Amino acid sequence: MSDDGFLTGVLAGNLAGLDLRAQTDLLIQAVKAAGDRPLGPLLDALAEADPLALAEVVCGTRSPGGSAVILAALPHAEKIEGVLSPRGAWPRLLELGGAESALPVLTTAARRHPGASWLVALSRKVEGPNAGLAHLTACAHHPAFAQACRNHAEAGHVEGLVLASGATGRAEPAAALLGVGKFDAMLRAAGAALDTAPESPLVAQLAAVWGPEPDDLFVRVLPILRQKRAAEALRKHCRHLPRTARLLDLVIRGMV
Amino acid sequence: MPGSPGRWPFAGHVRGRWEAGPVRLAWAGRIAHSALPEEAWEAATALRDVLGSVVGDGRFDVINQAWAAVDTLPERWKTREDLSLLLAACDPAGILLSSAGMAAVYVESPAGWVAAALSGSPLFTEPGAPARPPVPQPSLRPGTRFVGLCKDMPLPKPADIALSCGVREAL
Repeated sequence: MSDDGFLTGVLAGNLAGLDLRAQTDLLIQAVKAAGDRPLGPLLDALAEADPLALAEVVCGTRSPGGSAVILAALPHAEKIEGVLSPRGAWPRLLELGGAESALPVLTTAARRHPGASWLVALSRKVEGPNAGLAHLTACAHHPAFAQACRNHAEAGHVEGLVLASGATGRAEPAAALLGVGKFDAMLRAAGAALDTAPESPLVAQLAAVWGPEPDDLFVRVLPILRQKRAAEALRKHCRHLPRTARLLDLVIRGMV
Repeated sequence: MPGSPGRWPFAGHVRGRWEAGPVRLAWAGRIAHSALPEEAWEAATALRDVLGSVVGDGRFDVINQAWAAVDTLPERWKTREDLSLLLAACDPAGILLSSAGMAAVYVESPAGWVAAALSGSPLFTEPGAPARPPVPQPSLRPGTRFVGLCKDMPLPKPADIALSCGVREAL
């Protein structure tokens, strides 16, 4: 078979006759020579036949890297994690893929490991000042969401938390910011959450961080309200917060 | 009562007071504290509802009325058996303490925070709404600020007590 025929066959996922462990170099050369041709079929076949060979090609020491390889490998993250620890694999995939695949790598890692603390550092590397947004958006419905918010808050990822609050409509980012004493950022996050989800359980979340007498706190929160629906939803939970309730009644009357 | 370690230290915490003439009642407690904040807030609101309705004539009466009010908590919250509640009532004749789910109670004194009751006191019971109203106990020492501790809850450093109990400076 000609070199080009061999290459075409391998890229199409035809691995017949290859000793995948012993001939990993051939596979790596095929990936390097692929040009614009899709890598999906080869990586699909490798994932099926030998995940260790897949991991070697995708993120081993001789891997050619590049965003095309890494993006094609993401659907096989589970197989790669079967042979490499997630804590080691994801930073390596990020490094090899470069900027173009960084966000998909981070998002996939976040979906697979929503509670992992190493995602905090990975997020900072990928998202810079907005660190936390992709991670928190990806795990908004996971039980680890609140802990992830807390981890990002402790790492100082203020903007990411505010953005995640708006993206998800969840109250946990605001609560996490309150927990680390970022009061103004908490207000911005709370406002963003209510803009997206007026029924967001802000009272319960913030009170659980603040203390047993949160009336003073919520009086300060009221200026962020922009929607009547959000004000009315908040009011339902304020019957034991007399100052807040009184002010909310006024605010609601003044809103259209 | 200090918050618990974790993401939501004050989930399900309540604190409040009632006053009519010389009779005063103050309470601090927690309910459903291990639930998610939304559920804990609902439980705490129910506890605030019942305690907010208490009236009484004298320190003994107001304590008994408070426990009678706790007994009217919705079953959903009572059956969790995780209520911890410290009541302090006073009138011109003295101070009474009564509690459920407490392991220690301290009172602020000129000498610092000191035990308001000795170990083995009927004040110290398992968590949960009591089947019968606990017998109120006079405080060993008079004072105006009490801290109740649940099991495995250490007394915070004196300088940290207010904040650890969620007592905040004015915003």
